[in-house]
Amino acid sequence: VSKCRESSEITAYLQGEGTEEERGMLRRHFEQCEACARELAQFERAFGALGKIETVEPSPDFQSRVEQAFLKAHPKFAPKPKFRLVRAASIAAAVLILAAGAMVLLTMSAKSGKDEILATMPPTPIPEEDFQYRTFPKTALPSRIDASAWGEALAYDQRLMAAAQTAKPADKALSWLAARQEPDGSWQGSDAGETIELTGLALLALSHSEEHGLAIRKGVAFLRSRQRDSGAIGGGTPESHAIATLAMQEVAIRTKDPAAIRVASKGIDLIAQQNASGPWGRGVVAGWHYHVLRLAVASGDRALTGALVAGHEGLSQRKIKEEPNDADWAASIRAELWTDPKPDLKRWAADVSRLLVRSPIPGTEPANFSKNDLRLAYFGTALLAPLGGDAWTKWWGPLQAKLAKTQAADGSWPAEFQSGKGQVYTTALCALILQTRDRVPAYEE
Amino acid sequence: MKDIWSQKDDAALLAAIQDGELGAFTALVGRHQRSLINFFYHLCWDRQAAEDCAQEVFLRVYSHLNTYEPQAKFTTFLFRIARNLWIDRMRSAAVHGKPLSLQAQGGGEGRTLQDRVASRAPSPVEILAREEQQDALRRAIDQLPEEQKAVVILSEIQGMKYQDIGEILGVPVGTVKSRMHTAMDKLKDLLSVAELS
Repeated sequence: VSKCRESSEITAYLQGEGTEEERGMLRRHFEQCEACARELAQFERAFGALGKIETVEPSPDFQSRVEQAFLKAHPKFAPKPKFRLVRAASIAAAVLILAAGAMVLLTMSAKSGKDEILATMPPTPIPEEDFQYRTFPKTALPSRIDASAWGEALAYDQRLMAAAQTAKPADKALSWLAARQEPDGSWQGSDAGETIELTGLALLALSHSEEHGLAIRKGVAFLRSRQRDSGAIGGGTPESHAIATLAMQEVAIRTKDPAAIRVASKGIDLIAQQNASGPWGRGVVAGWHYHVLRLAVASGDRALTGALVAGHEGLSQRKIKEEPNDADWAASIRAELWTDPKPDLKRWAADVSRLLVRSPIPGTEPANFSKNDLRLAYFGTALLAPLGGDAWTKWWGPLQAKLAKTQAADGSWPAEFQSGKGQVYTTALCALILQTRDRVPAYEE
Repeated sequence: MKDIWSQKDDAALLAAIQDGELGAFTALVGRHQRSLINFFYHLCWDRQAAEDCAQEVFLRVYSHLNTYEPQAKFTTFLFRIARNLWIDRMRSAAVHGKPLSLQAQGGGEGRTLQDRVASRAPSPVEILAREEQQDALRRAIDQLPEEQKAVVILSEIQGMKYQDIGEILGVPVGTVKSRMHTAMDKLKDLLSVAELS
């Protein structure tokens, strides 16, 4: 038996463990040491024998037995009646359905009349009881608020709308995103809520693209299928609902897709009710909520002006400057700016200086990616782009350069660019950050 | 329907299961059934018991989904559940005085000699030699303490890396390495006696 320290490494060595360097050192030792070489050969034989161990194949019915046991424990997984209907239909009927489906796909390209087909697709019924918004009463909008104050903001609203209606040229990040869309129209996350968030972000990024009409329509159909009676999209978070609603709004404004209009209206309604008498959410939730509401008002939903006025009242009174993290702070401040009918640019320029202290994307090398905060980058950009001036120049120059540097040749950004989020998230959000200037016009030309 | 799911990775299947897709669950079972059944088979040498355990693990996967971290490998998650189930069964067998691994004296339960002849058509001498070889292997593996047996099965039979095994068993990589070495040290002596050619 070998007395060498290296002999205890033989097993790991034979199993391919360790770094190349460690393995190289061991290899050289084993070549020179007779005792170790002998032991190595014995271990090799033992491994060889172990490799002959009998393995069994699963019984042919194992999979179906497990499926049955699973269904017994969780009856809610049982196939829905509509599938049973299809199965019961005659082969001829099935062929007809398939042929009709193929026709829909073939004719779905940019022809607006065909949008009706997706618009009439029935939504998937989802039980209302597991819905987290249900605790919010559907209160009417308060009448005490004087909405006439909004008059000042009308001119900017018109420019906002003009920006929302503009089609954008092809972009490789968008092609990358479109190629990642699932057959059901979603962009998959690790759970239902994240799927809504990713689908909303990807669709928002794609919403101005003429090139990806089909992807947009499929995304709209997916989000529509996830909308509940309350107006909530999916069983996710207030944030994912707001992102999905904003995406529907942008699609609705640009394409006039009736399905998108319907989903957006119900989604906006819910957010308006939540924020009827002042800000309901804080941080990034408020950031998304007031973006949705402002765009709704700009697109002609004047009844919601009251919610913006109430929001501004609440946001400017709130001690939002004490928000602990920069992303929430930037989003809150952005919501305050967004509800301000006549922003005083000088005062605002002084208020946003906190944003210029540190970069939202300090890491452009994989080792430092974990320090990045893409939500801060997004809301910071959305806040500073309309303000313009010195703060904007200082913010945008380096940020734009860093985004350009880290974008891959295929148009995507690395999954690790924001820790724990995945590549659809990073690519959609980076694409959105780059689009901000086109979406949010400056207050002063 | 099956084909759609079989193209998805484990993470996508898990997300679809959370969305209530039965097809995704069935596809996940199809993908991992063989390795899971064999994991239990090499612990108890009883094909029926192995399938029962594997079925229980798949059912537990769903109820444990809330503890799954998407960054982690699904197989690590799966085998951690399998390992815990095995410990539960061992404890309960100890209480009831019926060790699972003794249920299948001689092993290969559910597979008759006829099955083997029909599937591979080796000569009777070959069959006998193979039976003896397998018996020797089983006896050797059964002589290992439980914690070493698990490492050998996961590492050499399931082909997992030490890092993943450490996560499954909840021990440092160094411990996996030393358990593996100690186990193989024993096996090399036991197996050389059996002379498995």
